[in-house]
Amino acid sequence: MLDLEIVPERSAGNESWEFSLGMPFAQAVSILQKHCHLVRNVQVLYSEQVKPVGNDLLLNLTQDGLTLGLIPAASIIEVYNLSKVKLKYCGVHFNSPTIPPTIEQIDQSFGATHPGVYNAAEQLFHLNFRGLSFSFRLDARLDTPKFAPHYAHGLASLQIPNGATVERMHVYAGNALSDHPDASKLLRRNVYAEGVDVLCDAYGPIGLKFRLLTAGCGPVMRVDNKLQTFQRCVYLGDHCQDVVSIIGSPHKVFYKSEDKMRIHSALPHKQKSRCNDYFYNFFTLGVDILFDAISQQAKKFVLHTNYPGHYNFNMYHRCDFRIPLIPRCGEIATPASAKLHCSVQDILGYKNFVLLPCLPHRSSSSNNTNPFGSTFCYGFQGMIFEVGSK
Amino acid sequence: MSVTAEEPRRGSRGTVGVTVRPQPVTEQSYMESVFTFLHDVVPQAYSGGSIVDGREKVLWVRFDEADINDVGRNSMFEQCPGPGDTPPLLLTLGYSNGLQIWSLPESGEAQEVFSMRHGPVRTARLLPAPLPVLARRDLFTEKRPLLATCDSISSSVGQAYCAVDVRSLRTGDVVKSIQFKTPIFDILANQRILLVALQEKVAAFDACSFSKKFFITSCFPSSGPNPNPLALGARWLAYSDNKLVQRHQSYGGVSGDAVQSYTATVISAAKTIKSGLSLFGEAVGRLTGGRSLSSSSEEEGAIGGPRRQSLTQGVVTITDIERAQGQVQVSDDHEGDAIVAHFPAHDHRPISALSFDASGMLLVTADCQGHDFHVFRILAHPLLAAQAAVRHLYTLHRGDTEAQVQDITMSQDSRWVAVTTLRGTSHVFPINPYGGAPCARTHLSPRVVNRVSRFQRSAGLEEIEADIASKPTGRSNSPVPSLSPSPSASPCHSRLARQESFCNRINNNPGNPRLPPFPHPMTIAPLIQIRQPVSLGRVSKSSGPGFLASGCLALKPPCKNKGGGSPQQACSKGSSGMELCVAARFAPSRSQFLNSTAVSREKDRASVVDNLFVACSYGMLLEYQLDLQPAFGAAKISDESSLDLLASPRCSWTLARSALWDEARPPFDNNHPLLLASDTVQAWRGRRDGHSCTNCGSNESLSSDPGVEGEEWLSQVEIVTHTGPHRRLWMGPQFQFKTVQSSGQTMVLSSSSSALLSQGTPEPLQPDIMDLHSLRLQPVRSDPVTMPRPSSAPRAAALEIEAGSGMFEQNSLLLEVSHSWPDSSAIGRGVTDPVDEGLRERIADAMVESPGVCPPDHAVELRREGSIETLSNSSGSTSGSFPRAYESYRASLPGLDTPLPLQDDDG
Repeated sequence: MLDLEIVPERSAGNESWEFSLGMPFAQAVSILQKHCHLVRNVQVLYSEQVKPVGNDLLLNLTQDGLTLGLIPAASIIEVYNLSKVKLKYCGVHFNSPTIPPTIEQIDQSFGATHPGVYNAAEQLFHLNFRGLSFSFRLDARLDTPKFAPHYAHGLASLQIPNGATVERMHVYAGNALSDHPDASKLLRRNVYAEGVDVLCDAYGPIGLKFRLLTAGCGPVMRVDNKLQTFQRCVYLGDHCQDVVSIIGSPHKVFYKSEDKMRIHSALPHKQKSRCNDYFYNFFTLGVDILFDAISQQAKKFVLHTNYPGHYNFNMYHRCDFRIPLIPRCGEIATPASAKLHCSVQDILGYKNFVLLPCLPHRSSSSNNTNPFGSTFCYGFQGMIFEVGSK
Repeated sequence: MSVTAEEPRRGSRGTVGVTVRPQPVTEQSYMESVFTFLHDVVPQAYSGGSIVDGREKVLWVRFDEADINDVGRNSMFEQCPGPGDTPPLLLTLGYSNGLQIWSLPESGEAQEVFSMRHGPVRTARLLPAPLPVLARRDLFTEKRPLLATCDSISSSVGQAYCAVDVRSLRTGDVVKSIQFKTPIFDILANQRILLVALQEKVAAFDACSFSKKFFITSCFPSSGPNPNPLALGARWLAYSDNKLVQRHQSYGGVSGDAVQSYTATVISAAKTIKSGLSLFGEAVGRLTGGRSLSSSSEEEGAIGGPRRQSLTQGVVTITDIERAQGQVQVSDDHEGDAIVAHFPAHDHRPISALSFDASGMLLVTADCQGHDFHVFRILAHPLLAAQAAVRHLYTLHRGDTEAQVQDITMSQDSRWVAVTTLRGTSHVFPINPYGGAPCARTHLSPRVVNRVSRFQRSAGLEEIEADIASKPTGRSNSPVPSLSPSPSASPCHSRLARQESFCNRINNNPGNPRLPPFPHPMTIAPLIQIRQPVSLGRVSKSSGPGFLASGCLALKPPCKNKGGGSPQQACSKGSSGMELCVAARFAPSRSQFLNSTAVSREKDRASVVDNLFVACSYGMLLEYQLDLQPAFGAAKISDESSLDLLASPRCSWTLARSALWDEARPPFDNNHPLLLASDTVQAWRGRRDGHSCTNCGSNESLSSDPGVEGEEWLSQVEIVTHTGPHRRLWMGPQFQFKTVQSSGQTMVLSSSSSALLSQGTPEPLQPDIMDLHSLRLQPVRSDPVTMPRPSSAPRAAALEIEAGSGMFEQNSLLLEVSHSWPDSSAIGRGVTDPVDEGLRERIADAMVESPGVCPPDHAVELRREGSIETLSNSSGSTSGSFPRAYESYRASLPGLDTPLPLQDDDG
């Protein structure tokens, strides 16, 4: 049974780990993986439908009655089954098998707050603190009438009957659930991308513009968690050292092994080349950069949207990509490109597909197979888009 | 065809000068006999090979980079593995009476591309054409290629070697002359700047206009052959700094210098375990003035202590030349925008040589003693040097005698380092660009392999190792402060505290490579040492050409340290005072056309190591073939077996200028190789600026024809871009994936509603794991979202990735179709193969942990749920492949069309 310290507006955790609001998905997952002996069952819930904003992604710890809502960083922690966890506030338990989370217990632990709000539809009674709220289940038959909104001028709702126990608990940022958590504490020294714009000239993509986010970069002597944002541009043809000075060192380097797609190349030199190109993986930026082994120059960018239904899910952080499309007259008339247009519209709006911009060419074909089913690639204006089959 | 020193041919005036053909090195047997002369005994019999009289005296030699071998921009070398694809080697020889530049293309016919006779030349550099930057216009487009020289005659101030003359090879005139007050040591250039190294100073000039860009006045002098060591990459300049400034110090830096006097094989297990400790210990020791206080490395106190006293800095600063303006310095009251990294590279010993690899991410450093060389990987941060990290990957152990390093070179793929000392010995070390032991797996393949082998990855060893690495300093509330002697007085205390606090959080931090702990560096011994006999220098001084015989070399097997004894003392005596300028470079063979048998050519192609070209100040260029094989005597060759390297001289070029040869002075014709190359490179710029970006890709043909283009892009699709984890998240068993169906109900975010998860609850699929109590208690809970509304969307695509199976399936089809996917839709729905059905039942039965009484349809489902763990465990690390039992239990996946099996509550 998990024993969690609840910090309103911030986190739920214990001395070795904590789920903080503002935590990116991958970080939450890595915590769960490290503590797989404690948390055995986790469900990742995601919506397949493309929605304009706030596409939800939930982590549900089924054995612990705990849920993390991520849009796309953690924005809410819900404990929906208090009988499965122990909860502490300021080091004192207010919920454990021996201490039922009754209204009295909550009052004692957290002190006074505004009167509760009754939600008739759910038959729940909400008691809100800053960054924290409790929901009490009422016995419908006995109590409901007097908590109806207009009953006794609402005064009765000031009181929650004794003995009522907490049904659910939420930890969120700010005064209401809609406030956004401050992520600065969580960035550590990693660099994250707020967004990536593809820079294009009239002939195709030429580079990427990163809006980067990092924290803790104040003067050395102070631990400064001020959030810093800055913009950087990387262009095709940049040398390794350029890229690393501009956006920092990659998380990993991947040496490309045999290239299966080389067979499609029209050029005569299909045989194995002596040198292998290498990728710089920027996992927290959602971007890979391919460098030429000989000239050490960037020659391809791969952007990963980290869609939950993709083979590579959770390898890259989700990032907001924006790709401008240049209308070029009389160029694109094939069905493939028409379809691509739709997809790209989706991408621009919803950032939910996997994009692989690379070098000039277009057509369509099916791609690799993986357990998620195949995806489709479309080449367009010097970019290739990999689109999920749905 | 052993043509011995045929008379050099002359090219036509104005194009190229002399052409020299390679000569085969004399018979192998002679070479083998040299092996026995391990010391400086120079065989008398330098017979064979004719002696050409009147060779001029070479002062220095150097391999160079310029437009002609710029693979990035010179389209002649792009992406065509065939003859003529390798860029020529460019070799500059400085004479007491002038300068000479050779180009050695793949054909092996060395061409003299420049030759001038005037006073002694200190240094010279061909300037690459500048990078096209919109803001800056190249003022010298019409003049390029340019050659910057520093010689004794042109300085008008009176003192020699105080001016840089930039000369146009196209027109022959001096286009720019830069005067300095102090003598110039070296000139470096890249596509952005021209650097002039002075006594403890560096001045940088813009490559387009030769206007002042920045200067550095805080270099720490070296006593070695290069008084102001610098390394210039494409964008970074590394120099030896004269102080270490806390505020800008990067993480990492030198670690484990204690192995200094130990042999290469002494890497105790204890040491690696203590790596976290010694990291901090080193930092403390560095700052409290010399002797390390760390208790973890006793040997440091014993041996390193006394040696260290009189020695000094050893700090390296890397600056970003794009951001550098004015005076570049590292100081407390300076923001340090232009600093990329600032770190101690050698423990209190001055740096004597620095070199970047081709990618610019690795930096090799040597100190004035020359016992060990360090290989660092630079992990830059986009904003601050203090946030960057420098990983000490390798300590390359040369030996225990003092030696001055004059040249460091790395192969194109960064797998080989050759360090040449002033004695003329080139030490060849194997390394990996990512660290770790060089072994058969990493070096016997012609291509660079990834750090993690398939075996390691599939076993998940990487993560385990990472866990172990992070533990000592990681979550166990940091034993460091208690063990290390109180660092409270030291100025680095706060920094250590900061490091520690980051360490504590590291378990929550997804793989930030810039955070400690860093792996401990590995000590590597040279695989081979190639010597150019120094004593021949005497000969050369007296009679000059006596050494021109082909056997002018000695090979020494590497120090093999068996049992941890001190390495064999090599070449320690006799050679003092004898110095030889030697430069080395890895490059593909140039001698294929010499031994023109197809077999040998084939062998060249198959060779996994580039050949090593060594030029010495006798004016000889030698090509050594490096043959790599698994270590002799190993019981069986495995991935991890160590390596043996054999070097055999292939051929030689006698490049020293004869007094009889004419000069090859500019102006040159337009078909001169250097001019042609310069034109190509500058044309490349135009192409990129103007009309297409295709140059950057491996595929050069931007065809405007849509038909051709249509197929072309396919080859550009990238399938694998990173090393995946051994198990992906969706392979379970910890994580399960589900889609949330209806958008409206899933997530309601308001403080008055707690409906966050009302639809997403997993109870229906986890009947035997879930607390059923809660289900009963919540009759008003809305329907699980995974269940589409029965009538409206019966075929809604609810997706589930099941534990351990690596499977992704349309659940709506599952109950009806029990056939092999993915073409399940092609099979008639509702048809259930009886055989499969039976099998499924049996396997499901066998897997039941807690049999319950359920309706048949749900029974299968329940049992499967109960056995998730069993299944996934059995499938183990066959990640991505389907377990054998797949067919049977796949079919039993829950149909999400069916309502929640609430009956289970009773069970």
